[in-house]
Amino acid sequence: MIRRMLAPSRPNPLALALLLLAAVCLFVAGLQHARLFHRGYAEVEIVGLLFLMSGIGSAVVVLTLIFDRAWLFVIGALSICVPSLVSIALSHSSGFLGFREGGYDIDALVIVVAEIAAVILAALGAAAMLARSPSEP
Amino acid sequence: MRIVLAALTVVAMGCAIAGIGMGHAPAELQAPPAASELVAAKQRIAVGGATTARGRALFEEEGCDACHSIAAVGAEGTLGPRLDMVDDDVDEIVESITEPREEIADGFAEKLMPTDYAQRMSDAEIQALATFVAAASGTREEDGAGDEDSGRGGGEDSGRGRGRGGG
Repeated sequence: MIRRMLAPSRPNPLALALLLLAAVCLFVAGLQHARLFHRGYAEVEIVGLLFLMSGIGSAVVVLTLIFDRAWLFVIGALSICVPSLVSIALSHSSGFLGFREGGYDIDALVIVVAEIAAVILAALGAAAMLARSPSEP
Repeated sequence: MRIVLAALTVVAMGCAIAGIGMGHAPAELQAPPAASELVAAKQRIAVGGATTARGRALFEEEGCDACHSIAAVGAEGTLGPRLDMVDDDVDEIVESITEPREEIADGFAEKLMPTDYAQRMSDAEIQALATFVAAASGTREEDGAGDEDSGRGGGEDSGRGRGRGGG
């Protein structure tokens, strides 16, 4: 399983298109996190660091797709976006690591939309890869 | 092609992570209080009595210091405007805490500050928090904004905390 994830894979055209779109969304979300880090979130304990790590992680995960590690990309994209979306939801409700926000402005919406899109597209891309896999040698 | 894409990814995200072209937090453009004002603010907080002391504790307990700066107590948050340069009196600061969306300081996010402080905190706690912020800024309930001659300066954009009152 791990070997399969780390091995280069050539997704079929449909899967590749979905994963490339997911990569764009993930990259946008990562850029936005990095931008917000420098727009004040750096001062927020732990949460600020997570913003920076999200930016770095997004770039690394996008690179995995560029270098043909499609499964690693799917796992990475989901590993970044799902916890991020949960954290955003928590920060707008009960609080996340003591940090609370009061609403969704355009900056937050960009991240939420991009990450939801990345999750859906990555999942669809993975499904498209699996659908074609059984027929492959 | 692959190398170009990878290079673009690394360069773009590298610039973002390094802060190149990302601008500054709006609060970083606000001048902090001068040394003499800082000493005066510390003095006002020290002699402010139990209400001010309670407000100072609430400022940390409620996480206000994560987003707002008050140099006199070492708070360095930059998501919201500085709270040691506000011109508002205690009543106006109370309003900024309980209705933070009424007036947003230029350049700051519109929906960042939670709006439920009036539900989460008692009236006395909000009053104490506002009293502390007023002490840090040099405004007082009894003399309102009559501190214009104190040389705090900064103008309209220097830190009117409306919309980011205390959370």
